[in-house]
Amino acid sequence: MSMKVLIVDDSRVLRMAIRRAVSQIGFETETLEAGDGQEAYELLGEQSVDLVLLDLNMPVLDGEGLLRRLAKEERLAQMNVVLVTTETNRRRLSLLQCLDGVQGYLRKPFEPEQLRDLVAEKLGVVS
Amino acid sequence: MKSLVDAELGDLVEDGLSQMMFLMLMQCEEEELDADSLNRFAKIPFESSTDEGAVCISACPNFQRELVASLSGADEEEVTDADVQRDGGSALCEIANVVGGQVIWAMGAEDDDDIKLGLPESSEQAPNAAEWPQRTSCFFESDGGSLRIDVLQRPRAS
Repeated sequence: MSMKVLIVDDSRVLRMAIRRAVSQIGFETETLEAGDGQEAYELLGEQSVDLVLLDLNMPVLDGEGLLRRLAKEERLAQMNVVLVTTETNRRRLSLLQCLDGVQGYLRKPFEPEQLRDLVAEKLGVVS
Repeated sequence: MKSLVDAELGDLVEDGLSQMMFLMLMQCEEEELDADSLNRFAKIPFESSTDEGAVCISACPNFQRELVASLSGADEEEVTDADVQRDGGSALCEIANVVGGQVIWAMGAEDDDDIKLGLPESSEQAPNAAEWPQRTSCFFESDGGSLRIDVLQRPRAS
């Protein structure tokens, strides 16, 4: 059975790059994509995923807004979320990491291998 | 909010883009750049309690092709003009996002809660640098493309 990874980022080309890195973990994965937090919210209402790779800085509904909405509905605790972000502020990152379900973050710029290894670790598979 | 100098900006960009996008860039002088070939632009705003600014990216079609190929995992020859037209702006916005994050980090955003980055947007028009009294710039040549990055800054209107 494949694992589902949801990539949430407003950049189509970056979603392509992330999808490519995820496909290299050496385990069958299905990737889903959303271009902003609202699209991700709707998608998460329809199906469950094993891991969410979430950008913070997005239009419509940003990553923090999505996390707060899911936390309010007590749905975040059942999720496994990694922030993939340009956010550098220690205090804001600490606050977001305190939310249930947020398992860590990867700061842009990152090497594709770093992302691949992090995804493998969070999915509990060896890359 | 700390200021950047040209060389520091150049090194930040070179590190970030080679790491994440596998782009081998060579820094060059402004006069070496083919400025007329720069036909697409992206910018991302930032602000602090005292200043406002923007990181602006300007690129020629060949650089956009190289970037789209790198991000999508395709060979450059496979990237069509239509692909560049569709994805070039989005790819430059991602550069603006990544470089913007590095710039505000270098300016002290790690510990300064007031420094924030906005959303990137692409444009067919170059930014009007005359509106910004402070400018830091760097210039690059890649395999066949030109890239220019400007950090524009001014005090916030009270």
